[in-house]
Amino acid sequence: MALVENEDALHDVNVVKNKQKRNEIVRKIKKRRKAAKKADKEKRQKFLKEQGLPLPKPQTIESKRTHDETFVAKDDPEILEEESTDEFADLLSGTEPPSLLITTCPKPSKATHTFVKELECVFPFSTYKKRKETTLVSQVVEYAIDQGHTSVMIINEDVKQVDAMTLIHLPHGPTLSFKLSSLRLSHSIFGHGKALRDNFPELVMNNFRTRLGRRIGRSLRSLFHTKPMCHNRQVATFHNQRDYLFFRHHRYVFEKRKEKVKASESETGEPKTQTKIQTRLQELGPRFTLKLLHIQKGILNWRHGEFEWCNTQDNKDSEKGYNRRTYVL
Amino acid sequence: MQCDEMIWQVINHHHCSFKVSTKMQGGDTQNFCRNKHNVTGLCNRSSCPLANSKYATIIEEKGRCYLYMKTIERAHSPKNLWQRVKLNRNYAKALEQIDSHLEYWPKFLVHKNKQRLTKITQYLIRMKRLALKVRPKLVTVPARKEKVERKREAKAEVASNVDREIEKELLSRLQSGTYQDIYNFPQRTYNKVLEEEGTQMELEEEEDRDRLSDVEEEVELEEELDEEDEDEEDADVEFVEGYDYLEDSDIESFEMPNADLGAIGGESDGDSEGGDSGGAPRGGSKRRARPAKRGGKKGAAKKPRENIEVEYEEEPAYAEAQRQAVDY
Repeated sequence: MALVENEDALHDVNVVKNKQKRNEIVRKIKKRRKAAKKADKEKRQKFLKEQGLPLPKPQTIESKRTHDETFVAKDDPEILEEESTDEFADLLSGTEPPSLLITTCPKPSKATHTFVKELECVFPFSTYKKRKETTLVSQVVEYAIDQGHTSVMIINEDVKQVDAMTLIHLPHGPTLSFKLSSLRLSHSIFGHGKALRDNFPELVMNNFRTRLGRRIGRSLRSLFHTKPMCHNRQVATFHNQRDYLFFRHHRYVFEKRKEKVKASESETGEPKTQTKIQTRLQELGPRFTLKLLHIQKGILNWRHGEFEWCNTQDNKDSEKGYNRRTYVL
Repeated sequence: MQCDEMIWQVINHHHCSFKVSTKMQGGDTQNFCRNKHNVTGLCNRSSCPLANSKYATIIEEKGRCYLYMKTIERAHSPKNLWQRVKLNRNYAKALEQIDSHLEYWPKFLVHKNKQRLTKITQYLIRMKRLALKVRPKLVTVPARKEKVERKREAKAEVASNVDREIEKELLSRLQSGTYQDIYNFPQRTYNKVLEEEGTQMELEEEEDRDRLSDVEEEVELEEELDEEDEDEEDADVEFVEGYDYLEDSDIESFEMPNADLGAIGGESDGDSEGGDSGGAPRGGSKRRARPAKRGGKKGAAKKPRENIEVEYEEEPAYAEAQRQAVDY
């Protein structure tokens, strides 16, 4: 078809009256263009390589992230000093074992109840207390302090779906409120394993880079024991990406794997396979995503509570203005 | 002028704008009265505030109760028709007040007023209790914002590549010796494997770069890699086999995790070597010799060393702290 041969023919395609034919032509033109573009790119890259010039950097949302002046350097003495005296210092240094009280909103549905059951496996130091309809959060907190718990976790639900998590650190706060989404309980995860009940999982925390991020990270870490049972090979993860905290719970195993060596390497007469140690994961569940809504100083108090941080991303009057490459954690 | 019977005839048989009739189930209707002075709320002869020239009622204003009374003597002046008495907050005292003010009034009105006072007092108490009670604060959720957030979350999840990050982190912990002697990989194979991994890593990075993929840690890595692009071609082949070629600084850079491991291997020598009996004497001596050899070079090859560490640089401070915690 003559039309397809012409690169700029996309404008003239309307000449063809048959819609099916027309679509076909357009598809072909686009395919050609795409291929040409790709070839061009490859050529460019090859040229750069030959010249020993640096290749262009991939532009990702992460690499274009707005600079945040609160990024924490590796060993900032000021930060370390501050962290050594904060609310989580005792728990994280291991002088005090963590003890978590999990409770729900009044009248939880079955979904919430199942979720809590699974959380109990993740936090072995936790105890679940049913919440009566009349019990106030303040009463829950009072009870928890009385029982010597170090933190309280309240799972909230809306229309029978878990939608929020509030974390109150005792006895002096802070209180963190998260939105909870994309919850998948373990039975709905394909090929899931069964978590050991009395196990202190290892913890992986990724990407908590700013001061706020570190604070959140410390808060979450203080829910886990500082001395995990490594031989049980269970690992809990909080991965921060674009201010979403992805929680995962896995069992892992290190395995040796034989790999075929690529042709270019085997030319030298080396063995054709090489051994590699790899990690394999089996998900145990649950899996969910948290998004920080606000941090309150002290214990949750809607009326008179003071906010340490709250989400102002929607505030258009804010100095920076909102942009999708601005992240706080 | 004032004729109660006539008013009631009109109201009852013709029209009253306060009259509301409801259809009850089963066909019965009930007439109610919307007049604010009605003491019972029902539409009938005795509790009609319009058709009774002598009438009393109780009205609540801003949490206080008032006794309203009207008499025929003031009917000519609607402005002053109602006499208002503020009732005591105390229920018992308020009842006494009603009794004293309505002393010679029809018993029906006294009774209904007292009933009304009781009802009002009860709802005032209930209002106070509800106001004090902590109740869930309902907030609106903008549907569009939710939708946007859901999409962003899905994209972030793809970009995060969580599983791969976890695998990397765990492997780095294994290499840094966090697990000590839990895993007894035969030392010799293990070291070799790690070396090979160096190659592997480089290859992987290159592939990634070609793809210009969306994966995170690339940028920093990129800078480092670009600097050494010139040497890459020859570096390729050399580091598979061994220690003789370690003089090359570029290769050294990829060996570094290995070096760390060597040190740790030294600590746990007893356990691990017991397991691998195969080439024990030769392998052992070779390994022991290595740290010394490398020790000298460490300083020299410091800069390239950072190249390989890139992988974990995302949360270096945290990783450090975590490792400490784990070791504890």
